[in-house]
Amino acid sequence: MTIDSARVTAWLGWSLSCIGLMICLYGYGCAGANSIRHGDTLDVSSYPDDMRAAYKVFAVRCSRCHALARPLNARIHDPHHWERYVARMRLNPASGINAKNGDIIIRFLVYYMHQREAAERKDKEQPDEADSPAGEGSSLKAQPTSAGQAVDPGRGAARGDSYPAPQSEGLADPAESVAEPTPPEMNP
Amino acid sequence: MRKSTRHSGASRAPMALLGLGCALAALLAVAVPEDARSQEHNFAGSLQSNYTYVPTEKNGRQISFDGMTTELSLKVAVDFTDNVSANVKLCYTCHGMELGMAFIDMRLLDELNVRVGRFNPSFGDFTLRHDPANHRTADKPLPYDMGRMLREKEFNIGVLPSPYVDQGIEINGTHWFGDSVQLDYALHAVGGLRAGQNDMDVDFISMRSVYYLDNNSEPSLGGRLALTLNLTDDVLLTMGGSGMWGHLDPKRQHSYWVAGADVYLRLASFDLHAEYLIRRTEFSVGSNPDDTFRFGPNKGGTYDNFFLKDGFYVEGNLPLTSRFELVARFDGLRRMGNVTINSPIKSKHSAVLRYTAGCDVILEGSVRLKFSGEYYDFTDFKDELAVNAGVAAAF
Repeated sequence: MTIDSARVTAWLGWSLSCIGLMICLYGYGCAGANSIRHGDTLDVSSYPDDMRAAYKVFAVRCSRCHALARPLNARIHDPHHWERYVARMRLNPASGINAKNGDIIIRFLVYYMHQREAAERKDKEQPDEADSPAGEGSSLKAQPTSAGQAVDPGRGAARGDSYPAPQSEGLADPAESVAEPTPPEMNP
Repeated sequence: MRKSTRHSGASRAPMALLGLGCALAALLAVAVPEDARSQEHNFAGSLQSNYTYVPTEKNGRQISFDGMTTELSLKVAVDFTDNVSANVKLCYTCHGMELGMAFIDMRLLDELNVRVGRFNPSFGDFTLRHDPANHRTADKPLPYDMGRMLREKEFNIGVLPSPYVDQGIEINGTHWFGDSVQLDYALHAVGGLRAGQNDMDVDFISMRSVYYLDNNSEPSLGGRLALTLNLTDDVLLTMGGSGMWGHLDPKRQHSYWVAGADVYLRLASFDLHAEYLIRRTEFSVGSNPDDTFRFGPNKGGTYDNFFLKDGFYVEGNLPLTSRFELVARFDGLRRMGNVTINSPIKSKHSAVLRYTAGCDVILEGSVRLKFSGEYYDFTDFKDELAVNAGVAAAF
């Protein structure tokens, strides 16, 4: 191998610049304030126990072929759509997703979908609060109680009955939930 | 008197597969009740921009596609019913716009799915994650390289460049034995690899030509068998084997076959992938081989009309935190056989080993920064270094 000194110097400089940039970006990444992130991982600490367990199945199985960002960012608003989506994925070769895991993953994604929709509704209704530092990222943590019931009227609601709402004992701090106003459509 | 047309066994098999696929599709149409629910769409895509720098060359472009390259894919999946779906994927990369997918899946059972159209025939493990957003390095392993490797022209890229996209039909399925053992199979009849009558190797450019047409009226046949074991909730092991056979040239005189074996191990968040691929490719020796080939005839005075090309990779991915992942890869590519006098390859056994170390930084959302350094150890050329810095996003 022949490398002249100028090339080596340039390469070292470039590499050090990359490492510096990487460290800066890593610091930025670790400093992210959002409690929920539509990336490769999700903070499920406020989810009920069964959904935390379901998330683990989802994370282990679905990341075998693709980034978790794909399903987490999918704009799906219908539980039945998730059924078809997961069925298609489950039947991919070597998916490692058996029927039982498939059901668990669907339950998690439907729960996640409701969480996300509730947060989006809240952000729309309370833009000022959502923009404030206190509101940032807290909306999804605060509303797990209504997630299973926050189904759009129509076909989604009918299919959503297959995926019951999470139990309340696994929820976030009740005081925090009380502090958050319940969106009108979630009232009984 | 006109001679009757006779079909060889190889020609009948794809026809039988096509007939079986059509019969299954018809059966599906009758057996599955019409679903009143509306069809559902899902849009997905990915984007990767990468800069490759070759510090060991004054003009890296002479041996690689260095500088900035961008890959884009846009995909729409449509579920017509619970059993019938369609996928269409458009890709844009170094060689322009391509149709990466356009197929319909008709699923009768978990064990019986019929796929018709333009798709990635099941082959190997990497095919599942060929999209840049789904693998951790900016480039692909050498056996699957599609032009990112250094000296790609000398080696004529990988063994089976990925994504390998072709038209045809595939019958595949999966069956679970209990909750822990999954067996997958796939059989496909597609256009196959192509080459001109006097080409010395596969003409991969013609594979993505304007006309997505077969060149010899005979599909290639292939298949895959894979066994997946869910050893625990966190440990998954897949072992697979794949094969493909067909003719390259318009006159169907030069055959090829490709075989591969793969292993995937998942230990909690750690991924380990390993694959080996080999391709045997026939070519025309011509009427005057003494003037054509660099190396003389065999002991028997004849010239081999084929060469072998094989490659492997072992790759490990380890997420250290939710935003930082390490990746290490060791891969290689080798060409064994005679070469033409004008070939830049100087030996009958020309090979390259590559050592890659890198990391990914996951930014907000699904945006991923990819950094890697690569050391190329060539047998016929001086060794080289390459550095990649890129950004990839899935949406």
